[in-house]
Amino acid sequence: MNDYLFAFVCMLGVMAILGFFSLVIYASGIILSSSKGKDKGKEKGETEKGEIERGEEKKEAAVSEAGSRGAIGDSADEELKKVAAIAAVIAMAESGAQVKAKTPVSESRKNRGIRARYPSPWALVRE
Amino acid sequence: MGAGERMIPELIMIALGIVFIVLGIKYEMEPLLLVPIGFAAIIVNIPGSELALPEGIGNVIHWIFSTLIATEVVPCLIFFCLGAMTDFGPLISNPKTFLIGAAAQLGVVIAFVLAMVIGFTPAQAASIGIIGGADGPTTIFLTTSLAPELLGANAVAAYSYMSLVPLIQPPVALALTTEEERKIRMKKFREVGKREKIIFPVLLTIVSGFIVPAALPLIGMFLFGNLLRESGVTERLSKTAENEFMNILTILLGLGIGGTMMAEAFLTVQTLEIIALGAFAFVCSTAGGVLIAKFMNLFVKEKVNPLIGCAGVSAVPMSARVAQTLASREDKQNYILMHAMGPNVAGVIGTAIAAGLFLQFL
Repeated sequence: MNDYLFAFVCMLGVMAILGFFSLVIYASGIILSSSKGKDKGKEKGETEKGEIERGEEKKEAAVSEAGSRGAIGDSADEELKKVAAIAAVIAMAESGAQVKAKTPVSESRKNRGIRARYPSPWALVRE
Repeated sequence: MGAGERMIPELIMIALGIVFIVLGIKYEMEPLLLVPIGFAAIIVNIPGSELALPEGIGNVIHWIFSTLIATEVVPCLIFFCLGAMTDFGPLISNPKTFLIGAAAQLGVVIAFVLAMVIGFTPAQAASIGIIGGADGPTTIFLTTSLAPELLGANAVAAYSYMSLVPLIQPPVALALTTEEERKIRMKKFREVGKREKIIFPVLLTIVSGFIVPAALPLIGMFLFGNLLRESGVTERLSKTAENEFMNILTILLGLGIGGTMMAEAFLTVQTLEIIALGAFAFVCSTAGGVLIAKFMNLFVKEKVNPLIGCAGVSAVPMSARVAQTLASREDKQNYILMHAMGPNVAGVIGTAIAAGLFLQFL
């Protein structure tokens, strides 16, 4: 091939190859971002499901603990129901506090763009 | 001719070595390279020195050159370390900047043609043209393969122009852009996920390897280094590549290249021609990047600040900094540095691809 023609072809070649890379990255970016959206939805669903399951587990644990305690007394059945109800409320409140601990504490802080690393212990107590 | 007269070329080279050291230390122009290159140029040109001679006593510089540089080991390993230091996020989030990196190879092709017109062989012309990519390791890699006799002059020209980026690029960019264009603010690019950053080096290695296998020693090592960085599980290796390993290679490269600057090989008309062609190539590459960015603005909805075209050459991150400096002169709140990093790393890939094409077909 003529050397000058080669120079021209070479420039076109570099443009074409890098243009092709650009297309490949665009395509893979689109594919990945769509799968990422699906994953996010799936992850969110799993997290919520996990929180419900954890609440249920805590409730069951509280019920069985209360049951073992209640078995000692005479009015076990009534006691059991009361304790189970309180335990379920505590378990739900705890899971809620854990979720909140990861988010900014107040709206004003959020607006300033400051993420609170640790929520105030009083916030947890109030919960 | 007297002994004093015979020593004039050596004395000129020693003076040049001192100039390099002064430029490196006083003006902080590429000090990591210019200081070792300058010092090596001094010690190999002292009359009676055998450091760079094949049969010399204690020829450590010859050993460094023949074992590590002439075999193309050091340029490839430097690319590996550069990969470990590079964040491809800006390029992945805005892939059209690949085209700016490609267009900035214009100087490579123009200098290649001009060098052939002047009388260099196509192989020599290619090794001179690649200086326009402003990529030291690629220049050394290609010159070692195609025209080893020009290695000293080519390497010195490439690294000199890299250090002169802040002086050479602004006039070209300012001449080719209007004030309004320089004020263009670019939108913040999207966040690039970890998965994308891991897939990118693997995918690009495979694709480029199939298209230009001759570029694989450079691109493959570059992207391997980047994979170590992005994988998140090889932190020790990537940290070593970024720091200690890179520093060791820089010392060896500087000494090896400085060792090629022996008076009888360096002080020739050819060297002056190479330095002039290299400067011209560099100017054309900068112009190519800026012009393609302007051309892209005719079609794209979100305008590109043409100053990021300066960064299409591979001088990472100096040319991106030049783009930022020029943009903030017009508008202090205009931040284009990260946008300029996209074409900057695309330029590294573009120069390696151009070198691969030269190697494959010449």
